[in-house]
Amino acid sequence: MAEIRREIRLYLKLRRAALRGAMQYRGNILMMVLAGAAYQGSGFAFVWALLHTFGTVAGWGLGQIAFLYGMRLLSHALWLVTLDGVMQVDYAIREGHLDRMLLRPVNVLSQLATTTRSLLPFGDLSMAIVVFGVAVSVADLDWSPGSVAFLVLAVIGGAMIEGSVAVTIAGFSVRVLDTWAYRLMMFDAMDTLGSYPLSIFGSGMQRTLTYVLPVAFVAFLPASVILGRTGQLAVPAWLGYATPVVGATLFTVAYRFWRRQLRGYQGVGH
Amino acid sequence: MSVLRGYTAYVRTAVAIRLQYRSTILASVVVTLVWILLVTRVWSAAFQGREVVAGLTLESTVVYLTLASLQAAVINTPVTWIMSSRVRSGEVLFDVSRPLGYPGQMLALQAGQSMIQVAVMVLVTPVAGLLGGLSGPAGLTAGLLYPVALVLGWVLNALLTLLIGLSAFWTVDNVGITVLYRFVAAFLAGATVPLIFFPGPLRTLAEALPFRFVVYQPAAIYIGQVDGAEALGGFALSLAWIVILAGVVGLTWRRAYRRIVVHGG
Repeated sequence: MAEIRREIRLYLKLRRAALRGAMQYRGNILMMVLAGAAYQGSGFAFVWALLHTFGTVAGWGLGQIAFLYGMRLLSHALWLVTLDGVMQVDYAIREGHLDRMLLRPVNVLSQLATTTRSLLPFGDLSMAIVVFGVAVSVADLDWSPGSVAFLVLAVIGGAMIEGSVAVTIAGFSVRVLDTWAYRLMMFDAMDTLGSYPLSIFGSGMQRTLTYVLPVAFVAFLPASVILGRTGQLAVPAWLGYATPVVGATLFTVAYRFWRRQLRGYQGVGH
Repeated sequence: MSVLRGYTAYVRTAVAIRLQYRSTILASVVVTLVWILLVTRVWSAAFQGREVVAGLTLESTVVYLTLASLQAAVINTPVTWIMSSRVRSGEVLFDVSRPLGYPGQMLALQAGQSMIQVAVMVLVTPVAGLLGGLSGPAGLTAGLLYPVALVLGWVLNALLTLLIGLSAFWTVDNVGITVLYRFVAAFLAGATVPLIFFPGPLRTLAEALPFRFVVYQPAAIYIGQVDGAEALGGFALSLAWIVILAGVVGLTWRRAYRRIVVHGG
């Protein structure tokens, strides 16, 4: 326990230092945050323009889609703000920075996670808050303590699902070095498929996105539960409650995989 | 003639660079195809039960979205990144000391990299048609005007890309503005929503800006939404934008050129 507390303290120290570094580039701060917001915002602008004409998509109104979209975005921002640096693993290996990290008495993943100067995650976060704000003011939501508690757990679970993908790819990176394209594909697929009501697809596609590529767990299934829309799911409704467990499980598996791969690390010859 | 040969060499280099990054090409294809699958399903779900909305049938909307998604790939280019990284490292000094104009060199790079992008998108068009939906152009004129609109859109986008890239001479890093351009421009160009579905003020804004000529105009001509005088008027307007933007690029470059000396390389 003391060990975990120490790791968390060190993680927070390193993350603060990284943020202080990012803040030195004053002119770039606003641009990066705006860019992060524009990336996610353009997706929501699409939904908004669509619903302006049609009112509903597959039975989902603006408030409900905003809730789903905002929930996904909160999970996305949460994992990015905490683990963003993990995406730099290719570079860290190529430049030999990982060799240095292995010698320090701090968890390697935690060191990787904190070596970043990107402020894009805070753009994602600001957009997540905006979209969620729209949802809260438009949609009719259940604000009982149980429902709010589940919402919080589901957002954390969703963040762990997306984070587990990043950590798994980081594991592959130790072996194959160049994983940029795979990362781009995986995250784009999650961005694209995770934010919209998957009931627009047939039941086969819904099942694939639940059991094979668990994108549905990030936001679609838990949002269906919170919004009381489990009636139109092609998978059992109780799966909607499983997001926190699925997140914790996948993240644990991904972390174990990363540790295993790291044991076989050979470096690139520095 | 030798000037032309110089630029052709640039185009060839850009093609070679692009071909080195094969996994990036694969990634851009997958990203585009997944998006086509999603966006056409979302629209089909929205149309449910209605034949025609805002003058468009579901079928032609799906064709529009499939084409628009393929076309929008051209907005995503590494040229702005190449420009900023060479400003940062000082290598831009080699670029400007060559006996060819710097904006021309960058346009040639953009041309070469677009050639690969276009070739790849043409190759995956059958798959895109299966995932989304495609049909022939609305008529003979639509089929003839479509490539003209595409070329005009390409030039406009290349000039805008150049302007974004040139910002690196002032801000050194241009990742922020590049990402901003990529997503805001793609949306206002009509890559995900045909302009006729935009709510009032947003539509006015999108119509006042040049982005729509990159994606909306060609795709709308193809499905027959824009034709005759409207199409020709659009061509005239995009030509006017090209002249204005070329002037702005020229002026900006003259100022940027003076900045490099200050920068010291």
